[in-house]
Amino acid sequence: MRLDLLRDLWLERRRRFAFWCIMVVGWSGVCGLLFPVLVDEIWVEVVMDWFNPALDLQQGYWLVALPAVGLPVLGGSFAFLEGGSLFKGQTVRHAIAFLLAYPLPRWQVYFSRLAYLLSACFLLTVAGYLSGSGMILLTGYPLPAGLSGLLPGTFLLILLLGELGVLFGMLSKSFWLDRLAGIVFLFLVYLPFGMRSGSGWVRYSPLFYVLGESPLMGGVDVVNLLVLSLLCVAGGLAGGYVFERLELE
Amino acid sequence: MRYLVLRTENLTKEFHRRPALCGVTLEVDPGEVFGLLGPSGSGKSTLLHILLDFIRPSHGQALVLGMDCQRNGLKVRRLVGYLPQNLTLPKGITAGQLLERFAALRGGVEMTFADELAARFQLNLELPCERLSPGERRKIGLVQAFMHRPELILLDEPSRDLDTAAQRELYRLIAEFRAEGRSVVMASQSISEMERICDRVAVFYRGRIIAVERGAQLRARAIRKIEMRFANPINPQIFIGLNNINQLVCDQNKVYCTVQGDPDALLKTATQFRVLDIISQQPSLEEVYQTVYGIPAYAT
Repeated sequence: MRLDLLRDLWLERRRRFAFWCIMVVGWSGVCGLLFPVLVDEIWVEVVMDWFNPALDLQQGYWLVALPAVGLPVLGGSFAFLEGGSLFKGQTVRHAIAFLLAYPLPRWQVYFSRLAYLLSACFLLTVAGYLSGSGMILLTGYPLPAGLSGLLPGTFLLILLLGELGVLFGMLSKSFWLDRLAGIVFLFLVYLPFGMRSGSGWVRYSPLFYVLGESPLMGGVDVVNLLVLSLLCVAGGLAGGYVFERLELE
Repeated sequence: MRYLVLRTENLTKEFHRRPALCGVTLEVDPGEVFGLLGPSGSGKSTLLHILLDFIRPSHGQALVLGMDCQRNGLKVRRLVGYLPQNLTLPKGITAGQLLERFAALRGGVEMTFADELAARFQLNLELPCERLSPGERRKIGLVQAFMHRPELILLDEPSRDLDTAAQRELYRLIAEFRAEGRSVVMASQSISEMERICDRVAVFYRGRIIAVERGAQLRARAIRKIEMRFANPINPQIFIGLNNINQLVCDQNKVYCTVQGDPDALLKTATQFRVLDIISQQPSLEEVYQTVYGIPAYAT
C-alpha cells in the first residue's frame, strides 16, 4: 500500500471527516451528560410504556440507553456514505482512472482507500467513546461496567458498513438505492425493541453485534465479535475483487 | 514482423448492450502522430481507456508497444504518457507540488524536464491547484503526460481550453517527440488540429472507423467557408468556372462560398478586383461528415 495515496486521501477528505467527527463527539457528549437521567428507572418506565408496554426492565434499559449507543448509527452512516463516495460519482471515477494511468496496480489504489476508511472509522469510534465517557465522568457517575467492551464491536460494525458502502459505490449507480439501504439499516438497529426477547430475528440487528451481547437477553457473546471480524475481512476482499474488475468508464 | 507501437484487432466494447466500439482495427507505427477524429460519443476516449486498461474490451485485442494492454498493464503504463479529457486536481497544494507527486508516482522521473516543460507552457508552478484556470489545468496535464519522455503518448482533447500560444507550444512539442521516434495518439474533435499535426487520422463514427486518412489527404479534402467583401459589386460568373467552389452566393459586393481543398484559384481570381475583407472558417464536424463521408448531419 502506498502511504502517499493515503495521505492525499486524508488531505482531500479532512473537512468531511471533521464534520462527522463533530457530530459524533457532540452526540456522544450530550448522551454522556444525560446519562444520570437515562439510567433513572422512572424515565425507563415512561419510555417503555410509550414504546412497547410488553417490554421488561432490561429491554427498557437498553431502549433508553439507545441514544448512548447512537455511535454505531452515526458512525455507520458516515462510514456507509464515505465508503460509497470513495468510489462513486464521475469526478471520483475520473480521479481513480487518472491514478491508474500511472504504473500502479489496482490493489494499491483500492487498499489505500480502504486504509483511509479503516483509519477514519477507528478515529471516529474512539472520538465518540472518549467524548461520551468523558462526559459521564464529568457528571460524577462511574463509567458503566463493560462500556469499553463496546468499542471493538462498534468499530467493526462501522467498518463493515463502510465496506458495504464501498460495494454499493462500485456496483450501484443509484443514490436512491444507497438511501434505501440506510433506511433498512436503521430499521434493523431498532428491530430488537419491537420483538419478544427470545426471537431469533434479534440476531439481524447490528446492535446485537455492537454490544457483544443481545440487548434483550444479556450476556457477552465473543463469537459475535469474531463473526463481525470475519465479515469485515470478507467485505474488504469482496471490495477488492469488484474493484479489480471495475470498469472506469 | 513489423514493430508497431499500437495495434488493435477487431476491438469491440459494449456498455449495457449498447455498442461503444465496433470492430476497431488500427496500426500505429513508431514515430507517428496518429489522430482519432470524431464527434463526442463516437468511441475515441473508449479506445484510449481500453489501451490503458481502465475498461476491458468485449471482443478483440489491443497490443501497446508490443504488449497486451490487459496482461501487461503495468509495463505498458510505465512506458505511456496519458492526458485525460477531464483532469481532476486535488486542492490545497501548488501546481509544482502536484507535479512532484506525479513524478513520485512514476518513480525515477527527473524534475528538470518537467520544469522545462512548465516554463515552455508558461505555467506558474507556485499557484495553488484550486486557483488554476481550465487552460492551466490542461497544461499541468500535458506536462505530466510528457515529463517522463514516454515511448507513446495518449492525448484526449489536448488543445481544449488552451490559448493559441500554448497550442503552438504543444504542436512544437509533439513534433519534437516525433523527431525522437516517439509516437503520439491524440483524440480530438478539431479537424484543423488533425490536418495540422497528424500523419494519419482515423475518422470515428458511432464506434466505427469509417476512414483512415493521411494528414495531407485530409488537408486536400478540407472544406472552408469563405466570405469576401469587395470594393465594388461583383459579377458571380467569374467564379463559376472554378471547379472546387460550391454553394456560391453573390450579394452586391459580397461573395459567400465553400472551397474544398486548395483555395489558390479562388484567391487569384478574387485579387483581380479590390478586396476589402476575407473571412475563412472551418466548417463544423457535422458538415464535414455530411459533405465528405455522406453521413447525415443529424446522425453525428
